[in-house]
Amino acid sequence: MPYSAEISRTSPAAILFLLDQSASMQEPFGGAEQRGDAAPSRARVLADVVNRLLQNLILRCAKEDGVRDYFSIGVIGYGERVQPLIRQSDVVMAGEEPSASALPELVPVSFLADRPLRLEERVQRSGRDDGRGMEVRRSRAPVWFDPEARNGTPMCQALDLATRIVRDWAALHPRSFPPIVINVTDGEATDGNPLPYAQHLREYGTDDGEALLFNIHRSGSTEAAVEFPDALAGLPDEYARTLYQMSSKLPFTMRAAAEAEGLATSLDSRGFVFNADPGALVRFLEIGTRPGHLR
Amino acid sequence: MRSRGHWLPRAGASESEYEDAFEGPLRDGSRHHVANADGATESAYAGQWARALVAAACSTLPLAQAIEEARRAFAQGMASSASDLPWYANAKMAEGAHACVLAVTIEAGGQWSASAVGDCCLLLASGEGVRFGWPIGEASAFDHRPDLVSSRLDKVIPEILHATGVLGKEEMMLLCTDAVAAYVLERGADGVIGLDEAGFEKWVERARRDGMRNDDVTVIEVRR
Repeated sequence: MPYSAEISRTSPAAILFLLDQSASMQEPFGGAEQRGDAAPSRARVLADVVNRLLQNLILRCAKEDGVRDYFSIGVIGYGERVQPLIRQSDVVMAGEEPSASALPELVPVSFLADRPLRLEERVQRSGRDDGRGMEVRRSRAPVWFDPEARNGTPMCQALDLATRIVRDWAALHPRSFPPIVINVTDGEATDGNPLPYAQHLREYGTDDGEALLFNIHRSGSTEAAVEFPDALAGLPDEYARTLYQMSSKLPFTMRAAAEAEGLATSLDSRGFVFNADPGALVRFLEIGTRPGHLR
Repeated sequence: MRSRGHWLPRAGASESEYEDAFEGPLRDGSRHHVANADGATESAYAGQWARALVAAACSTLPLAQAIEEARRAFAQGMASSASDLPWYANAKMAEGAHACVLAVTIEAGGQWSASAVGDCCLLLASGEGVRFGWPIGEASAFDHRPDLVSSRLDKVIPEILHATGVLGKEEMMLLCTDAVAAYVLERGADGVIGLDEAGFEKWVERARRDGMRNDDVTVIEVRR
C-alpha cells in the first residue's frame, strides 16, 4: 500500500512548511472587524499555528531520553524574499555534525527542539476529564517564528524552491515516506498561476508515493470554514478553488486519522482547509503529519 | 501450570528502548495470574508505565483497581525525577504515559478469566492452529488506535473488556502484544511455541521478513 513506509530515526520523513509572509498577512482574519474583535493579524495567527505545529511534532518525537529524529523539518518564508527560515548551516554553526543525507534547507527535529527563539508562559484552563471542575495548567510554549508581513506573494517561486528540495530529498531517500509540503497562505499568488508549479512538485516522490502538498487557506472573507473537501463545488472563491486543485488527495492512513477526529472524508478528499479557526488548523496539520506508526 | 515469557525490542532499537512489559505467573493458591502491557510509542516513560501496570495487574485485584494502584506507584516514581528538564520533557511528563494492558487469571482446571484495555491479545492455540483470539480475533481488526490507559490520576479509564473460557489440556495460551498477535492470527502459531530464547529471536527475524510489523514483541506462553 502506498504511504505506508516506516518512519524511523534511520528513515525519517521530511516536512516542509511554506509560510506566506506577504503584506496582506497584516490584515485580521475574516469577520474580526465586523465583530469588533481586537483580532491579531493573519501573520500572527499563522506564525502561532506553525509554532504550535512544530511544538506538536517535537512532542510526538520526545521520549524520556531526548527527541528522536523521526522528522527532518524545513520552513520556507515567502514575501519580500523567498528563503529558508531555518538552515542546515545553523546545525553546523551550533557545533553539531550535519547528517550525511542532509539538505541545506532541512534540519533534524531535535535541533529545533533545543533551540526555540524563546519560551512564552501560557495558561490553559480546561474541564477535568473526571468532571471535577476546571484544571488550570501553566506551561511554557516554544516560539521559533515571529510574524512578518511584507511585499507581494511569490507563491510560484516558493513552490519552485520546494520542488527542488522535494526532488533532492527523494533522491537521497528513495524508499522513505514521501515528503510532505504544507503551504500556509491567504491565497493570492502575485507571481503567476501556482497550479502548474504544484502539479510539478507532486510529480516527485519516493517508492512509497508522490510528494504530498497540503494547503491552508486563510482568506479575508467571512465564508464558513471548509475542511478536507472532495469537490470544487461549494468553495467560495477562485483562490480557494486553485489551492484545492493544488492539494493532494489524502492517503488512506490520513483519511482514517481524519475520521477518528470525527471528520467525514471520501476517497477524493484533499488536504485543504479554508478559513478554519486556529484550533482546526492545528488539527489539520496534526492529521496531515501523522502518516502512521512512528518507529 | 507452566509459563514462559519471550521478548525483543523492535528492529533497530536497543533493549533499553523496549516498551512492552510482562509479569507472572504469580501463584495464588490454585490460581495463577499473568499480565502483559504495551507502552505507547508516542508517550515518554512508556516502558516505566507498562512495568507499573503489569506489576499491579498481575494480582488478585480487579483491573480497574490495579490501574489506580499503578498510577499512584508511577506518580511516586516520577516525583523524584529532575525538575530542570528541557521544555519538551516537562510537557511530556505533564501529558502522562499511555499503554494497553491485559491481565489473566487461570485456575488449575484450565478455567480462565481475562480483563483488558487496548490490543494486547490472548490467543488459544494447539497443533490444529489458533482457535480463539481476544479481544481481537482477526488480523485485519488491528487499527493502530487502541484504547490506552493513561498514567494520570485525573484521566478516565477506558472501558475494560472482560472474557472467560477454558484452556484445554493440549492447548497453549499465548499473551501477545499487538504486532505478534496480528501476525499469529493471520499466519498461525506454528514455530513460535516451545522455543528457547535463541529460537524465539530467529522466529521473530523470519516473521519480520515475512511481513510482521516492526514493533516490540512480547509473548507469554501458558500451559496446564
